[in-house]
Amino acid sequence: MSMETSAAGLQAHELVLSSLSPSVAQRRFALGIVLVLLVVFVIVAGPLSGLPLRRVDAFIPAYGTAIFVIDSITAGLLFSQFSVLRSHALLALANGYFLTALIAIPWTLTFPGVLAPEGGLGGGLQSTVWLYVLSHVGFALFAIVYILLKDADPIEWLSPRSIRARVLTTVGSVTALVCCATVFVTAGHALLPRIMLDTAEVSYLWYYAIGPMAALFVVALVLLWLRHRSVLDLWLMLVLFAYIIEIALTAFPIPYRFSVGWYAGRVYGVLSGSFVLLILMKEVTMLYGELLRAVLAQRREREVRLLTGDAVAATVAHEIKQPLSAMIMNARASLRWLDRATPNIDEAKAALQGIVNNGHRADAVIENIRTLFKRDARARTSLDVNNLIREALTLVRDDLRTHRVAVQTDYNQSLPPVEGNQVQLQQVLVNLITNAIDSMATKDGDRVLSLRSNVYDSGSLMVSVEDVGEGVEPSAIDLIFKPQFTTKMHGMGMGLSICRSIIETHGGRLWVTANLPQGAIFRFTLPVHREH
Amino acid sequence: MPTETLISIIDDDEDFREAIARLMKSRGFTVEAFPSALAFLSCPNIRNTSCLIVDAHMPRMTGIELHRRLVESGYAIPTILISGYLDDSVRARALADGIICHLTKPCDEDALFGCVSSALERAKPDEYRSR
Repeated sequence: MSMETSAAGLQAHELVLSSLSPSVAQRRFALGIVLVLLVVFVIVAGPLSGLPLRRVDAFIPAYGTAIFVIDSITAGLLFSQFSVLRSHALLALANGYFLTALIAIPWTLTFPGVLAPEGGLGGGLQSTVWLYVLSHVGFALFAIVYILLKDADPIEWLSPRSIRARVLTTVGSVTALVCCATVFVTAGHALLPRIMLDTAEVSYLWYYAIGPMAALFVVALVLLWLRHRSVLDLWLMLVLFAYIIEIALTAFPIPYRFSVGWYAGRVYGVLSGSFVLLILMKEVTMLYGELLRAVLAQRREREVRLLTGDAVAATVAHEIKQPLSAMIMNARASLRWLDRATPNIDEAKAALQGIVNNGHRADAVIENIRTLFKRDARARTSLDVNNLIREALTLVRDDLRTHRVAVQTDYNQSLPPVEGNQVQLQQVLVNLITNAIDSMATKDGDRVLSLRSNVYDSGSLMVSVEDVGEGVEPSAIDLIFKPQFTTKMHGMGMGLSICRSIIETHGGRLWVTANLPQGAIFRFTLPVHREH
Repeated sequence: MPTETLISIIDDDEDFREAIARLMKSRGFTVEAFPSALAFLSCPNIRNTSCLIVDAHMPRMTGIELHRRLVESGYAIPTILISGYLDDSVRARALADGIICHLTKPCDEDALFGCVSSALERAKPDEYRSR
């Protein structure tokens, strides 16, 4: 899968949040969240700190599960981002989330009160808290690796096997690390420095532990602040900020499990996983919508192209040439058979009969093409002219960009709907717009295409397509609508005559006037849809 | 005009195929017509063909692909390519492959016979070539 350009012609970096620059609105939103986090912290650490809360043992498994699920989904999404974008920074961040997700399992199981009153899995009072330390320090380190690597260029090409290998190696290493750590803190819990005095209260050692931990996160946050570029970076900063507050809440105001501060800290812990998950989900939805739109636009474009005058003309030409060439050959053959000393009448007759057949065949070809138009002409619906113009502009967007044509639109918003065949009217608009672009192709100054819609009279509305290009010779004003007339190097010149017949079939008129000081204005009217 | 020369015509369009066969016959050639390249290849008369007139655009196997196949199998039959529309890339490829002539429909009779004559010249064994 090529990520370089999507079907709509957008570059990869325009779509992917890990490299897209955040907008002003997004920055303000992030700032708002920072303020909310701070305010809550202040409230919890201040007025509410003394609020007595019950110890809810069921909270721990619920919390552990939440962390596991949120962080492992985030890790999964980041791993797949890595496989597509080939940036090692993403691999590091993905492993950071994988680490926190995985540690949530032994953390929950060793927590006093879950499996055993003093610490499950054969561990003791210290097991859980040291797993907490490992989880946080590990995430901070992975985040720092992400920050240092993120501005490096992605690797040109990695085979799927190579990508899989890298993911599996890192995932395997992290898993091994967590397993060893779990074994160590449970079996060797007696060797661990005594941070927990009992199942709820921490000792003074805790302050020595959280100091470096918080410092690590502050370093990461500062580094990221200096280097932040993308939306992902912005939200990662929020994540780090939430982590810092969470660590602070384990010690301030009361370093006591199941206090208000502690519960609040757990909530911050869930948030740090959720932020990144939320923006990744938002990116997935955004890409999905974009992809749908692009596919639909491409399909519509193809439909319109199929019925463009040039395409039809080419088909007609090719199909008609067969019987016509055969006719000429048959006539020649007939002449030769008759031109001999002894004319071969039978062969000459056969050749002439062949000519008759060829003529019928040519007629059938033309009839087929007419029914192709007729079939579609029967499908008429109520249409909004302004939407038609907007869609036509979308279809030619690439052309406009390539030729650097500026578009001005002037829509009358209160126009009534018209009844017509959407594809045919699209074809007319695209044809007129393409002609306008072509007429300005050699123009040096500003290339401006103006599209207007307004009321023409009591029963019809009018659309104008204005350009500042070469314009139309006064003598050719009516000629250009005749078939075969073309000033172009390529094409059969069928476009405008087909456009005129489409508009006339709809009950309108198509004509051209000169634009001053230069260029042409093509206008067509359409009758308004009358409800019966 | 030698009467043992066999001209094979391949075109998926029935009208055109019959017409060009008739024209060749009126000139005194022996003609065999095939509706597709595969039909021609499965015919035992390949060896006896002195000249091949083939349509460029056919489903399943185009004229150029047929010519290439024949060259690879060791049959050096002089080939004339006829196509419905002028396509410079097709013409360039055809001439590079060793196809003698490239004509567009409707063919000018004189141009066609000019091509056929030079094709038959090539098909003659060396001792019969006019010096």
